[in-house]
Amino acid sequence: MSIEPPVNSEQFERGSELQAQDQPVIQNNIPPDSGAVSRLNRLEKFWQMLGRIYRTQAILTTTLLLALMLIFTILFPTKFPTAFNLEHLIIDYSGIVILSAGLTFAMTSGEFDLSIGGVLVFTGVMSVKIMGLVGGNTWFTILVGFIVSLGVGGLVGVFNGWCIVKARIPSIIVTLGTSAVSLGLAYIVSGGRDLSEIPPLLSDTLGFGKLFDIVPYTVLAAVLVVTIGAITLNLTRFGRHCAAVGSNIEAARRAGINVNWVVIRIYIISGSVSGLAGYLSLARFSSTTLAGHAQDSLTALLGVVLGGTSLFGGSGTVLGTAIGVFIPGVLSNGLIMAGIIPYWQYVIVGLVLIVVVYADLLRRRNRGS
Amino acid sequence: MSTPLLEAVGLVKHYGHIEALRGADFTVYPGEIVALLGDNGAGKSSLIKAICGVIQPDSGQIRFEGKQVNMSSPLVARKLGIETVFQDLALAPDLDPAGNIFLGQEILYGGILGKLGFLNKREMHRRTEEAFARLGVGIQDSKATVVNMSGGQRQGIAVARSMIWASKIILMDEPTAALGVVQSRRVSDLIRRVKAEGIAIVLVSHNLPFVFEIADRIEVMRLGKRVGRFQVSEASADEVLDVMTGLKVQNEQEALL
Repeated sequence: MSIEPPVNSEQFERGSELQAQDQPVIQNNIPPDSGAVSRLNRLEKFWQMLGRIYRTQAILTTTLLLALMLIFTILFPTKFPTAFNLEHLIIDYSGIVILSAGLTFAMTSGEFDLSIGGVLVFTGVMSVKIMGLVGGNTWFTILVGFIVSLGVGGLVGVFNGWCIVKARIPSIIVTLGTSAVSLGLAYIVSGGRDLSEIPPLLSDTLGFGKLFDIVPYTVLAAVLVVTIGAITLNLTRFGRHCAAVGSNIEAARRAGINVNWVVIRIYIISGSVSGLAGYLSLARFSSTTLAGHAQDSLTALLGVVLGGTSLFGGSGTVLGTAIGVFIPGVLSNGLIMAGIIPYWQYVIVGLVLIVVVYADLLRRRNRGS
Repeated sequence: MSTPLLEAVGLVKHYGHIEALRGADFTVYPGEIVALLGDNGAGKSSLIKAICGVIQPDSGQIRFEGKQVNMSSPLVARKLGIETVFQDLALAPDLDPAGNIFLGQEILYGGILGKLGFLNKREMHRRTEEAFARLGVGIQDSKATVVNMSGGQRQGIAVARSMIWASKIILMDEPTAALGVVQSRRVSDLIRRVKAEGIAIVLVSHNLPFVFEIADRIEVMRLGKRVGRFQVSEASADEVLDVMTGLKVQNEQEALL
């Protein structure tokens, strides 16, 4: 499709470099006489807009997700597209959506956070322990548990951020380390067995409750986190600075941005939303589910990359992430229905991650930067 | 000429045992284009960095509009209306032109939205397009990311950024180093338009034809000192080259200033 944009002002250079790469352009056979100029201008803007949307990975991801859902609907018309199945699918993946929303910030700034799964478990254990110490089955108890979850997650984030900006250790190593540390501490504090002394009030409300009897609170929390995350990343100065740090850290520094503080704040966000996910997991399972989150960091990472956030930083989309997470989700759901051993999902998730990252790499190389 | 806008007098800068600046002088007059020439290691970069506050000289002084100033950080220079376009341009490729131009100095909404850090993207785009129009920077889609743009367009963005924030002087380090012939010509157009805004421009360049085409004046450095000053209209390239390489010494009487 080679269509060229009309030139409507002498200021606009029309050098071939403009049409480089994948910008869709409009073939212009009509000389731009004065009457047609404003209309052509609008048309040109429209094409530019279409081009931007087309280039957005999120659209691709949505298409992929819908295609997967369509396939499973055709294969299992009575099992897959039921309200019950879809509701549980969404609830099951709410926690991962929350984790990956935090991870999106880290990856937009060009860093990794592989500690999120471990932090989820660790914050859950700490929260149960402290709620046990406080005792009772009151709103106060579960509020304390909530604050502990977010606080512990935030503290791990501060540690991650400090190691990355002050000690200058690569984030992939730091967070791999804190992932092991937090998981290890979770096992030590819990004595190696799952704790299930959760205040019933917590599981009855946040765990199984629904807003207006329709929207489960777990899902509502994920929707809130995604909404706030998307707004912050796209529309605020902090989000802009995250992208700038990931795009060209030296440029960000020279522009007077306190780069270290941006990175530390990102890890505080990532840690505390992991804490929130840990708290929600407690509420839903009435247990610390020590062994249940081994794959969470990887699945979240896949969701973020599928959603269109570059592995190399510079641009990210929380909304895309939220959609991307459901690709492994729907896939494993469908595989189970197909009677395939569920462990295949690990194999598939791992392979898809490699392929998606390769595609991202190719796209970067093609941009020639 | 009128009184100098900026004057560096006797700047000395040591890096360990190396003397980058050995009592260097430099003068910028209001609204002119002055080229700073010199061989590699003459001290041009150190001088530029001292003027824009990136490094602090060991001794010597910088006077701005007649008053001595202490360029203790790039922010001081920025407040005085001095901006720098570095050779690598320092652009974030994943942001759009407006995002780059306002990076670190974003325009926020007023009221509660602004307190929450919400960007006024519309206003930033408006001012960006206005600056592009004034400078004749050819960028059709101001919302596309910089990564897809040509070297000349990137240069245009970097210059537009410095022009929006500079009121007095723009320092440009090797603005044509990475550009082809056509794009170099666009950059010289750009520089002339900036000059038309009444902003003085300091050019560091190795590109002698480019300097002779565009500059009003030339100052030559050699071994950390100023060794020559020329009016472009009255100088020849050979003369300048001789002074640059030390074949000929220009005495004070000869300097026609």
